[in-house]
Amino acid sequence: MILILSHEEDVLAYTVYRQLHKGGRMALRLDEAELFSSLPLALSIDRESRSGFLQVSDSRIALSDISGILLRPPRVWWPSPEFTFQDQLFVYHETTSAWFCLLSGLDCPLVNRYGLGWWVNDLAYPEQLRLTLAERLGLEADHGWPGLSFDNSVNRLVPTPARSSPESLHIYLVGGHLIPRSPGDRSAAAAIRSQASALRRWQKETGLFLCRLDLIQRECLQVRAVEPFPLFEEEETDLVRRVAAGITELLS
Amino acid sequence: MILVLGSSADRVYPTLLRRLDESGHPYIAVDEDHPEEYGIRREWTGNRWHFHIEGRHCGGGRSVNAIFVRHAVARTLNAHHLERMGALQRHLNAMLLAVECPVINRPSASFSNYSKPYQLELLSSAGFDVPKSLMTNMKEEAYRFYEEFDGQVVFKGVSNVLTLVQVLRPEKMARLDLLPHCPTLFQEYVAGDDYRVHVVGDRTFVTRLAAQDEDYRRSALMTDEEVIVEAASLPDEILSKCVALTRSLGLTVSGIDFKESPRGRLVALECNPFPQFTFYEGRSGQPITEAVVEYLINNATDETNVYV
Repeated sequence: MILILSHEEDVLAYTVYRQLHKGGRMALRLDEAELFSSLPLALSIDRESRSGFLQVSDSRIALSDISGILLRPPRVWWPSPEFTFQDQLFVYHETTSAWFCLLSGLDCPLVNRYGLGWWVNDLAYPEQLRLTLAERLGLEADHGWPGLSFDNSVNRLVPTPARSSPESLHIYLVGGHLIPRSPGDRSAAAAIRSQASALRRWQKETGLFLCRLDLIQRECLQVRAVEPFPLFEEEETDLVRRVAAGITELLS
Repeated sequence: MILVLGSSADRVYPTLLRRLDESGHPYIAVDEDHPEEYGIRREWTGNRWHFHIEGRHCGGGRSVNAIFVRHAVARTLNAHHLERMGALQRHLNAMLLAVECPVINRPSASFSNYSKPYQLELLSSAGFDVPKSLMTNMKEEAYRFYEEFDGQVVFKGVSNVLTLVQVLRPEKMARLDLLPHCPTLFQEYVAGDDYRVHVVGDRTFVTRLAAQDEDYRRSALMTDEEVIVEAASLPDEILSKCVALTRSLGLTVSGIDFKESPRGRLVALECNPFPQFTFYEGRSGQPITEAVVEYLINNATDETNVYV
């Protein structure tokens, strides 16, 4: 059983679901609100083992029967307003913490196997990704200080779409595939591809099997940002299909 | 120069500053409860980043050779203050990703206690015995677990939000009806003394705690019941594992909690990346703050890219 955990309007998740279905693979889509607010779960842990299940409608899905997961909850879910604000905060943290634990211990392919920085909304997490990627690939990190203005009141990680600009380059990293967003991004993809083994090590360390690399070409290629939760709603259909095909391959 | 990042409203911060004062080693503190008074400037020179903290007592020019971090927590719902404090901490955390001197502890390595069951798995992988545990939001599963352990079960929160451990007694069973709203962690109840092991680099400090309540913090902080807190010992093998676990998580300092049954079964419960060691040393007399200060002084680097 493959699980697709996302927002119901996530175009990439929908495309992956369609491709899996077409290929005869059984996949179950669960919306973020259903996942966090009402899906019964149980996880047993002792010194030797872990086991558990999810209860979906009348069926129990053993954790050991899950063969792959596409994890794309945009985390817009928030507990019911019937709780006090303090209780809402508590329920939010308990719930997301529980799902982090349940998912992180699964052996199956998990796209993405997000690190704790993502789960706790650590605003330094994207900077950490950017610096480690640049270091591993021997590239420079762009000298900007992104998203760190005192005027910036955003207090959680927000998924982003690619933003076109004359100097920016965008490449989607999907498993071992580097997919340039446009023909102008091909040479940058080729340069990154030459560092394939370092890239694979970075993916293993970070758990990011799907992300967007935002680069900039100056005297040398620089890493401007790593988007661990790229949005595809504004992307060309063919690009979405190619990224989805890479994910389908990872999950199969 | 040692830099302390923290909160004047916290209990560790003033104790640490007092000890630094006594050491005679130069230090400076950034009080995150006054975020409006600080700014961080970043420069790219000599092929690396340099960070200059300015404001209050910081002029941005003196070299920092070791850093202690214990971030301020929200003590108010004032949105403007929280926003500014969050922005300052965001800058500091981004800076701490790139600093070259020792940091106790790097925030980016300190999230594992976000999930207690996740930590149980880490503790188990590190070779510790752990209590049988169930994380669930299903009443019938919690009840099955309760039966499996003949009613000897405790429950607590899953995340790092503070919750006190409670024994699942018959009169509390009605609360299981609330489970579908929020997953909860149930564990076999290991009755007995508590142990806290503080790791500071390669050094360990073992503290035994004995209280009537299943959670000694309730006795100490809320009901004013007697809690015995004293220096103790545990086998070297356990202490070596504590040091190895701390290091493997990318930490220098940690506080690891254990429970020991009267039959001698020692189970690990969790690992705190920002332990409030002053609570323990204040009662046991163990020199934990001194050890932290010694670590900072002895491991201070000559090279730096942070200035205050």
